[in-house]
Amino acid sequence: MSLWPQVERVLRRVEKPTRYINSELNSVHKTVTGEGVLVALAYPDVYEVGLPNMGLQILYELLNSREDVVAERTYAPWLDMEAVMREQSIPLFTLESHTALTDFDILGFTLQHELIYTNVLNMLDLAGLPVLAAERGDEHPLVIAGGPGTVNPEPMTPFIDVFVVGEAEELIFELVDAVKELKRAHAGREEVLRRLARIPGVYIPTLYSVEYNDDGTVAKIEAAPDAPSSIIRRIVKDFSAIPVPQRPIVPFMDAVHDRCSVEVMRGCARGCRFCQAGIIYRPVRERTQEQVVSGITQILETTGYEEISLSSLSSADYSAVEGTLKELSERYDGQNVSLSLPSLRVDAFSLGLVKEIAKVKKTGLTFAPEAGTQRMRDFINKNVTEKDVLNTVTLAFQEGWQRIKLYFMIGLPTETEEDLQGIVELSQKVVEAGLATLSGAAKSRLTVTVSASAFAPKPHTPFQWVAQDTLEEFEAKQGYLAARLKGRHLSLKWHNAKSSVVEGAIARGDRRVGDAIYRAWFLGCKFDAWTKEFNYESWRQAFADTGLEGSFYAGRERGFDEVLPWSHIETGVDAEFLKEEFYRATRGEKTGDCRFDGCSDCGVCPNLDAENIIF
Amino acid sequence: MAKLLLHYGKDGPLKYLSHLELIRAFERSFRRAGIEVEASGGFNPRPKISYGPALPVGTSSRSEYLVAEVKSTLCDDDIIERISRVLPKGLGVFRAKYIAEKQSSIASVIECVAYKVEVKTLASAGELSSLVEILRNEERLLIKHKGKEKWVDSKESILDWNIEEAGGGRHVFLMLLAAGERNSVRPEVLIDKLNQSYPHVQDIEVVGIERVAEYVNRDIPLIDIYDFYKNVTIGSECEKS
Repeated sequence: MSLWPQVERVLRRVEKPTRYINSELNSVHKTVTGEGVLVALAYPDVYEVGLPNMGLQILYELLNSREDVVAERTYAPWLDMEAVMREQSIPLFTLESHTALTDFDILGFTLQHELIYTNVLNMLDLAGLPVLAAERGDEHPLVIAGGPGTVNPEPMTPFIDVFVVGEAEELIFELVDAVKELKRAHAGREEVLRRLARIPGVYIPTLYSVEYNDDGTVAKIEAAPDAPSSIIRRIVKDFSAIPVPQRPIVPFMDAVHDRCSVEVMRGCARGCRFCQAGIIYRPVRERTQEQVVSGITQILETTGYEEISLSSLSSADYSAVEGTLKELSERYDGQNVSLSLPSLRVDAFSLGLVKEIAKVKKTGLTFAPEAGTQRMRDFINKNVTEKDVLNTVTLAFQEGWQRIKLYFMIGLPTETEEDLQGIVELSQKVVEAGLATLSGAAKSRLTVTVSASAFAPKPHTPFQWVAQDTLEEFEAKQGYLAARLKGRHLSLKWHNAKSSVVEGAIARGDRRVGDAIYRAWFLGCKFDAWTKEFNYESWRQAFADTGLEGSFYAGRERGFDEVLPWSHIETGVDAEFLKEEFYRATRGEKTGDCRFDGCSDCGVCPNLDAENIIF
Repeated sequence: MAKLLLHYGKDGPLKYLSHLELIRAFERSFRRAGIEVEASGGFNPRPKISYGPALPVGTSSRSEYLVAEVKSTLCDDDIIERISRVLPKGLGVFRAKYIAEKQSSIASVIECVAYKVEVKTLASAGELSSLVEILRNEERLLIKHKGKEKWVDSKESILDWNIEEAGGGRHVFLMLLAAGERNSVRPEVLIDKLNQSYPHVQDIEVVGIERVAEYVNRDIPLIDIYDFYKNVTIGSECEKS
């Protein structure tokens, strides 16, 4: 039943009503009769943040390609809308048919990062569903979660019935088929879960029990007799065999990314030791240039987009990047289509690419040296030297750019004052390079923005055992930088260290952290990724109320022999490799990129029966 | 280059699009339809499309116009067909024609607008009629809108009106209101005015507003804006795609 009449009545009272309407171009409005499966895909943040998410767009198109499946979308209503929905008893609905989420068979969330977890709880509650999985029954939709957060699903286990670990392009059909069959057989919830546990990559938390040691660490994680002892991340072995999604939804409102974005490859083998994405999307699998270009051509036809973006974790590393950009810029010459390339490397090659595509508009450029000293850059395996940075920015200034953003992290393991001073000095040298290269009005417009984010160690990385800095340490370091990064051409930006500490505690949390998440939501936490909405005091209280210490999860160094709460989730990368990488870090040894420097023996190819695919 | 006048409508959920969102939707629709639009110069080239007065968010309309400077010389039927095929549901093109290059902008020539306003109230049609009549008989009205105040001449502002019962406590107001520089007033502001001026009467709740026509004059016979722009033949003959 459509809730549109009720929804429409309150739209006058909220800002940006476009968030809650439908009929965006390429949205699918259809119905199934009889034995179809109804899927609601949920992004736990507001519409303009959630809509561009590539994973959900892929699933939406795949699911709707089947006649027996309807997939619709839902996002977290903004605070004003939530208030009127609660006041008027309007349950959370999907956009396409304005149907209550309770009418769906499957409700799937994507867990993109830890600070959207409370929104998952809030959306379940707004839907009128019990927030706790244990309280849901056969009449409720199956609540599924996917996305990078599933590599440590434990903190969300109290709320989610089924986790899908890894890439879902193939798995999703196995799951839908099973649900369809079970629905036909009127299977009970427990039977459904047991059956789904047989699908590789599916994790059913209720089939695993966790025991703890007296010191609070995990003693063991035990699987039920018919559940696999570990869950192996699913991947699409040949990414190029999967067609480029052709009909992305075009939002009416201004979304965070509103452009034709085509994934040119999955995975990154650069091996930055702090980076979780660099581990959990391995191996590197490219699309062919032909596939990328024809995909873009089709998307532009179905969307009318005026901007193209080649997306991946490191698009300058895509082996056909030059040819692709050249072909695209020739094809769309004079048609007012702009090209963009996210995630640049700090080198002349990347700059050359940008120079090609930014023929007229030279807005800002962002580079990520990540750390201020060579010692620290070697420690994190970021293969960039100060010379690389200065040469690249000088070239950029010569080409006419006047605004440079430098991205650093503070709180990396083993960081000393010298490393912080390194951030200051490198930033100042970039300013000096700008002043020496630019002249006249351009010189006076020179701006170097330094972004310093507070590092949170993540599961399945070489730094998964280290202690995160405490809030006090982070704030002292921010103060150090603020006192020194001054000057007409310099500006310093950072994220709230408080949210990094909460993020850090959840990221490496165990099942009990779910209690703190529940409590935080109960205390009113939501939209934690929004600076204005984030409430540190409530989070502190939530941990305290549930008898947990955030510092146990965030600020504690783990021993290599400790059973990590996520040890039953296998990304394919061996724990031994992660340990070895940690040792190499401490010895200042670099590890090469396996695409060019030989196999680094991370284990992912043999474990997942896959390989790098480079054209 | 040719100037194309497009008469379109906006309804359903899409009536909640803001003016900027509507503009982007049209720009992308022209691209999808393969109708090339001239671009402005400068660092940030923009498609040369001009629009009529912005429709308030939540108001539907069957009387919206835009002028696009197009490179194509497709026949108007073809243009309608091509763009209708790619427009999102809720936007629809009714008519299109090529017009002379030098023309006053849509926004500058509109003098009055006809609206259909559906309201819900416990008051009867007769009561509503007499209320409007009292308002009209006041010489001047103080109009408050978005924190601004202005005085308008009542009879010059509310040009004509009619009320029909629609059943279930609903009434349909048809109103012809002045637009442009002098004495302009919006329908929702007028309903607010009724509510404020007669607090003893039952609340009048707006259910929906639709813009139904736009004219370039305020006297009988009214001249529809579409007819005001004379069509021209482009080049020798238009192309059939």
